[in-house]
This record gives sequence, C-alpha cells and structure tokens, in this order.
Amino acid sequence: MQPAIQTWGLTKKYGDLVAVDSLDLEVEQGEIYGFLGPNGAGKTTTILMLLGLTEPTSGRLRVLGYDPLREPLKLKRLVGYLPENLGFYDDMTAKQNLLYTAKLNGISFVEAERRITSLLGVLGLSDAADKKVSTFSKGMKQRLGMADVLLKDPQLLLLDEPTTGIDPEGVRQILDIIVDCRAKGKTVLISSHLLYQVQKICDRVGIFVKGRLIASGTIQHLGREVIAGDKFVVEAEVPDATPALEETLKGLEGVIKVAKAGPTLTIECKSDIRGVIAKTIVTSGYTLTQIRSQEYALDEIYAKYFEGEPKA
Amino acid sequence: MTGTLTIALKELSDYLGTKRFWFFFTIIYVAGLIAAYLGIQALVQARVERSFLLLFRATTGALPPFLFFITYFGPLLGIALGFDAINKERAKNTLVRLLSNPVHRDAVINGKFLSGVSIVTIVVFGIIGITSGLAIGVGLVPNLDELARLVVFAAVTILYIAGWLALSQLFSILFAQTSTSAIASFAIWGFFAFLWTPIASLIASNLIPDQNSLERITLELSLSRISPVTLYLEAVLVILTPTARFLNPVALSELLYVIPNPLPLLQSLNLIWPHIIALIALVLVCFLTSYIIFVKQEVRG
Repeated sequence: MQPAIQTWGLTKKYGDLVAVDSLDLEVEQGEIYGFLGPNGAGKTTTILMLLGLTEPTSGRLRVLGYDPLREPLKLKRLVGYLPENLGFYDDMTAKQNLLYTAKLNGISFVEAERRITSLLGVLGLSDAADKKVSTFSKGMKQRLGMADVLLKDPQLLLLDEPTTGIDPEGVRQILDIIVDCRAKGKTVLISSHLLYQVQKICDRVGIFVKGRLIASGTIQHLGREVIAGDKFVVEAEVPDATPALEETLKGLEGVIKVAKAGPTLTIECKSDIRGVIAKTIVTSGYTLTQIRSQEYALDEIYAKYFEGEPKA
Repeated sequence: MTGTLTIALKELSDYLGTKRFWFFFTIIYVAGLIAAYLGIQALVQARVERSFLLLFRATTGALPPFLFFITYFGPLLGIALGFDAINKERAKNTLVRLLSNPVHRDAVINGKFLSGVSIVTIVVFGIIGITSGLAIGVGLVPNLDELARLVVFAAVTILYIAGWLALSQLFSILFAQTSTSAIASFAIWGFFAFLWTPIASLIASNLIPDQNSLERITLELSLSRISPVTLYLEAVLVILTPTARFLNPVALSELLYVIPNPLPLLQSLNLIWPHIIALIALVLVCFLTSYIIFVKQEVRG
C-alpha cells in the first residue's frame, strides 16, 4: 500500500527565510500522524504545499497518489483541510455555510442535507444550525470547521491546530472524532503545538523545528532515542529493595545502570529485558509490586530537543 | 464550470442581502427617475428632433441628462461590487477554506465577476426600463430602430460598468486591505472622470501651440480617448444620436454633401466599433492580470 503522504526534499523559501527545509515525510494510510512543533516552525506551510495551495520552491511530493500542483482538483475532492485561522461567512448560517461547501464539492442537495444534519448532531451544533456564524464562539466555529471538513467524506484529513483555543470538553470531542476517522480507515495529519492533547491519539509523531523535521516515529521510539540515548529504561517497584539487590541487578547481562528513588528502581538496559529483571528480583526473595518500561511524555522529548537547539 | 456557477450564485445572494447594494440601488434609481423626468420634459419641448432616445441624453437644464449620471456615477456601482471581492475573503480567512475545495482559482474570479455583471445587468435594464416605461406612460413610444438602439445602449453600459468591476476586482487581488483597494479604485475613477479631459487638453495645447489647428484638436481627442469614460460617452452618444456621423473633426467641404438623415443602427455601430473594442480590451486586460496574479498568489491566512 502506498503512503498517503510522501515528500522528498520538500523545500519552501520566502526570500531568505527557509520556511520548510528539505522535508522527507511519509505518512501511512490509516494512521494518525502528529505534526508537532512550535508556532512558526513551518507546519502550516507544509500543509498548504500538501494541498497545492502553495508552490514548493523545490522538492517533490505525492499526496494520495497525486501531485498537488498538477492535479489539484482531484486531490481536493479527497482531502479535508481545517485551517488554523478558520473563517466562515458571518452573514450566513452554519447550515448555509456547510451547504456552500457541499455544493462546491458537487454533493447533491438531498445528500448534503442528510450529511449536514447528521454531522451537526454529532458535533453538538444541531441547535445552532440556523444561527448566523457571527454569533458563534471560537469553540463552536472550530466544531463547525470539523463538520466542514468531514462533510465531503475525505480520505485524508489535514487538521491545522484543531484543538487550539477551545475548552477541554470541545477538545475531547474533536479528538474522539479524529480517532473515529482512523477507525473508518482515513488518514489524519494533525498539526499542533499542544503536546499533551494530541499525543494520546497519534500513532506516530514528527517533530518540526525551524523548517526541519528533526525526528519522526512513535512516541516510544522518539523517547528512547532522545531521552535515553537509544537505551531501554525499566522501572521496577520493589518496596523492600536493598543495595544488595541493586548490585545483583547491575551484574545482569545487558544492564547498564541502576538507580534507586524510594521504592522505585530505575534500570537502564540495552534492550527490553523486563522478564529477566522481574525473575531476578523475585528469585532473590524481594517483593516486586510493579514493573514497566518507562513511558515518555511528548514534552519531555520536545524539551530535550530544544535543549539541544542552540538559541538563535 | 459548476464551481464558477456555485460561487456566482452565492455571491449574488450575498449582494442582494447587503445594505451596500440596496443603498446604491436606491441612489441610482432615484437619480435615474429624476433624469427621466427631465428627459421627458425635454422630449416634449423638443421641436426639431423628437426621437425617443432624447430621453436619455437631453435635459431641460436643471440637472445633467440621464447619460451623464451613468457615465460619471455608473463606475461607482462597478467599484462597489468588486473592490473587496478577494481581499475580504482573505481578511475573513474564508479564502483558504474556499480554495481547499475542488474549485479552480479562476472559478473564484469568474464567479465573482459573473455575479457582479448580473447585478449590473439587472440595474441597467431596470433603470432603462423604468425610464422608458415612464415615457411610454405619457404617450411617447419608441420605434423599432430606437428600441434596438436602447438595447445596444444597455449592452455598452453593462460593458462599461463591468470594466470598472474588473478593475476594482483586480485591486482586491493586489491589495490586502479592502480600504486600500476601494481608495485605489476611486482614485482611478476620479482621475478619468474629472481630471483626464483637462489634462489631455493641456498636453495637446503645450505640444501644439496653434489652438485651432486640426493636429491639436486631433491630438487632444486621441489623448482624451485613453479614458474609458470618454470612450463610453462618445460611443453611447453616437448610439443615442442616430444623426451623428462623425467622431473626429471633419472639413466643412466634406459636410457639404452630407444629408442630415438618421443613420441605421449598423452604420452608427460602424462608427464606434473601435470604442467598443477598446472597452472590451480594457476588461480583458484587467481580467488577465487578475488571473496571472491570483493564480500565483499565496493564500495563507
């Protein structure tokens, strides 16, 4: 199966400013890819290039098998784009705005009515369907934006900061919808600078700083690579741990370092040898209440990357 | 094509819903009605020529005739319809969402232009219809030739106002601020409507000091025809004046053989073809420039 998105050396320059610097990106079909980075990192520019709305300075790209510059219309039929700065026609009602989008996508009136009623229901906007968008709150507009994207039943969703500026309930709702899209086999690229919100749902993430994709992979993978330096970190809860146990563990094949903080033993090793560690603890006569490989939070990874970045 | 039509229909219902449009509509109609009233008076008083067309170009003197209203203030309708066509969508962040749908960029320009031209057509035919209706009401009835001339008059008027629409639409692409594009459009309108004729005269007088020479008059005429306002005014004057035979100065000796009969419509049209083609060319230039710039333009919010 070919990837939903593939770019080779994609570059966009605005004068001297390099907004996107030779990006090689690959997003598989049916996955949720988190496109993470601070504001101004070039995430929006990349998304605009994926849609054919901005012309790359150099490099190649393929989205759903199409070249966005050569066949923009075919592509735009299959891609739903939620812009960061979302705008609707203020004088029109929510429903009228959606009907316009439906018409532009060649969806018949009857079918559009059906989809709009159902989408507005799912997004909790049924009561506001016939209200002018000028009366909408930021959160309502964002949800209307999701309805606008989903209306054309796209194969690929490009969501630029879909959760920014809305309340936690609204965020949860939008994330649920995104996960639901994956369940339907759709591919989702979600750009965000809010790490906690998106890391829960992303299959893979890419970290994008100053126009460059500095890392890409699962959060687990990135954490290992960045924080642990390609090591495995195992945390074991042993309430009755003694220095003798630490020594025993250090002697195990593949263990690099053992540290103790309260009842928690943090064991760095070359590979995932949780089984061996657990067995050793138990056979040495200690109580093992819990053992797990360390989870990496995205912002730790993120912070680590920024430490490495010299301040401009 | 469906994209163009969808956009045009949406824009049309937008226009009809704005106060701006109805404000203009009212002003133009009131001005038209006043002019029609004066025109009817002039027509009733006229002794030599009692053409129905006098209605549109004659007055008793209290106010300028109908034709002048359209010539000088018609452009404002075009500008009002076009000056914020693209940059308003840009400012409201609807442009990027619009273009993320399967529509070509030229469909956006075409759709907006088409809806503007529809409005202009409604207004122009409406105003000519009402004026004619009033005249017919008081017993003045046009003949077939006059009717045909009225239709041509309406068509050239629509073309003229559409030119201003295309220009202001181009400005709405060039300038990010709606106020800038409005001011730029008004500036061009003011320049050509009120300043260009005296400037043309000044240039001609300076280049050719002999005030009465044919060269000076010809130069001044040619220069003044750079202005679409002059082009339009000359063109419709010929259409509305069946006896008009010349647009350029002619020698008296030539006039000796002229029988002052009205010309058939086609002969009148022959006289002003270059004007009409120049007006069409102006629309096309604005349009092509719009395409070229808009297709390459960044759309991000």
